[in-house]
Amino acid sequence: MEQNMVRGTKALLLSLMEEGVDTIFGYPGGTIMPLYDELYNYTDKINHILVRHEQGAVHAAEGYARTTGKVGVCMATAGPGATNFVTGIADAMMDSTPIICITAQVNADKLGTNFFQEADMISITLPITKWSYQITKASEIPEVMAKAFYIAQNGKPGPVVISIAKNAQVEMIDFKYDKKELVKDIEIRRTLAENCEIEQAAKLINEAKRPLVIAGHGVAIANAEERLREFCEKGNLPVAATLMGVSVMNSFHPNYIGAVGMHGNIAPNRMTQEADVIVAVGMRFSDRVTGETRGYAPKAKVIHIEIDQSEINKNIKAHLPLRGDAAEILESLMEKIEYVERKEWFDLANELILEEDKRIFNPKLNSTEEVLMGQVVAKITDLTGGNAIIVTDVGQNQMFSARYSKFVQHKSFVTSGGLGTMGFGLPAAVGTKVGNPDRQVIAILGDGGFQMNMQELGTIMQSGIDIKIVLLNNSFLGMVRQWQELFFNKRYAFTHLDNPDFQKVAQAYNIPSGKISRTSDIEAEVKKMLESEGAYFLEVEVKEEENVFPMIPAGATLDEMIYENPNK
Amino acid sequence: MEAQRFTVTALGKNRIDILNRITSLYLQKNIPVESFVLSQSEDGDSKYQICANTSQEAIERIVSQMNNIIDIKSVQYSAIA
Ligand SMILES: Cc1ncc(C[n+]2csc(CCOP(=O)(O)OP(=O)(O)O)c2C)c(N)n1
Repeated sequence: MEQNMVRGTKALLLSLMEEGVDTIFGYPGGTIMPLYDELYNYTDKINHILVRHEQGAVHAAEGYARTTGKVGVCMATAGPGATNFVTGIADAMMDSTPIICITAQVNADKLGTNFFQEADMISITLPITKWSYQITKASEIPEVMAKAFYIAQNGKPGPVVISIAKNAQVEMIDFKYDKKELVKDIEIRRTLAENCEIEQAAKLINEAKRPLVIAGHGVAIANAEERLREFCEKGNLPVAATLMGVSVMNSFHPNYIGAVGMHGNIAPNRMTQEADVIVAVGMRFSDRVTGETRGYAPKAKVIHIEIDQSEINKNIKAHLPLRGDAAEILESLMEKIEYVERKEWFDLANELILEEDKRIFNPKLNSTEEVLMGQVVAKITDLTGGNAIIVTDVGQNQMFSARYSKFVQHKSFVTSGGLGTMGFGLPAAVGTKVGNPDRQVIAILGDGGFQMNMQELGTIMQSGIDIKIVLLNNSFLGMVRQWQELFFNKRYAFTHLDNPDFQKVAQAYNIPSGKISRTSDIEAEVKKMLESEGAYFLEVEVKEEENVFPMIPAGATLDEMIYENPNK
Repeated sequence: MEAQRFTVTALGKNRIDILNRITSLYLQKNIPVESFVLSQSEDGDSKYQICANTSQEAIERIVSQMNNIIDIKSVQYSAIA
């Protein structure tokens, strides 16, 4: 057989290309220099986006992965470069995001000696990775990379860390990449619900008077959005989403009733408590969804469609778990479910939707006093026809983004759900745009979270990333301030921010900018932003002490939703 | 829930990370491990046996998480009287 002798670094890049990778988010350094040197030979095949902080590279890879369905790849040098990845990896683990994080490591014969920039990345990230591997010999590269990609994507996706020792980067190997052969002995145990379980589930659903489908991120991961729509149309079932599931259903679909959870909509939260059958699809009953579990969905039998066996019966007991891929299960369920009228149940949904309009949305949207976050988000949705991808940060900006935006396309709401990582939004928007060059990508950020990864404006400038940045500036760590107002006697302990002149910050990076200070500015300024070419920065001076309502306070049940400050 | 002594037995490939992935599940939940035996079987697989005093609920959670560790093939547990 002909030999194909290549250096470890080349073997690594060839492996990535075999896996279809054409984009890497990264940052160089001493130990990873051989790999960067090799990458310089492939600038026509691999687009390397130079970030400004390694955390930004991971969040960018996450944004890329979540909106394209492909694996996001990021790389960093050993030691501090690698440890800067940690928050992003934890975020990807919580939100089941397939990314591969390549970090360099010192020479294998120096491991464990506190060599310059040695950090034991494998141990550091053990509980926040789906899998990890330290490559100490170049000969391991093809097999390990094939396995890494397989594991990151199959079953419930997640982050994989590959730590590659410097010697393995420079050794020569005979490179062959036969994917099938390389992954043949990995087992990701696949389960698929039995026929009889499907029958039972269909029977439960058909007989249900008050069924509710709750769709999570798993629906997007399984590319099951269309299956979900057909399923709920065929069975005439109302559908709610979790925060991570926002945009798996077209927001204008008549069966869609909004999002569940701590700051979710009134209809799906109340209907959870009334439902006789809950069909949970690709969601994990997070505490942000259930509130106090003892009072959750007291009247419902729960059908839990879930690929990860460890999620079943973890927080909420499933009367009927259906294990497996959401798309496949919905498909087989579809054959067996029937259209049932359920007029009263849908009437209740509409009544509750109107109640929320009256109680919450209309007063906020029609207010002409200080600018409110939701007014800006609603205007963005309006002017983009719900076609933009919205990437949020964490806090009030995130909740108002989820509550006031609408979506007509899938995989269009990118947010940090499980970890709630401030600083996620800006770099995630960068990765999202790189993966979706033809779509409008809008980052909606708070002034706190923006400043956590503000340095990525440099990435946007250098790589010409065409994203629109909307900074909802309330001069507070708004969500924490809200809790202080509601639950800590308004003692605003260290949540007020003295901010820099954000207009000047944008200018420093050559990013054109605008500013909204009055409600009458909103329409014109949002329009200007959307019509601008290239990156744009829109600062909005919003009301300092606005609160997100309704809210299920921590530890309360869904029945204890509050609509205003209870201390007033 | 009442604490009880449980032995968990996992079979899997002989991979360097599995040992730590298992112990990290106990560490995460603050459950002291009383004994840990790792042995190699003839077919090249490894057997991991962990004994700890904890609740049924905690052990069930650990077993389900252990089942997700790549290259672990099966996990069982039993209460020790
Ligand atoms: C990295 C990180 N640190 C701290 C927190 C806790 N936290 C959650 S929301 C929030 C306030 C966010 O403030 P800001 O970014 O200004 O957004 P706003 O809530 O005002 O929209 C904080 C501090 C967090 N989620 N992430």
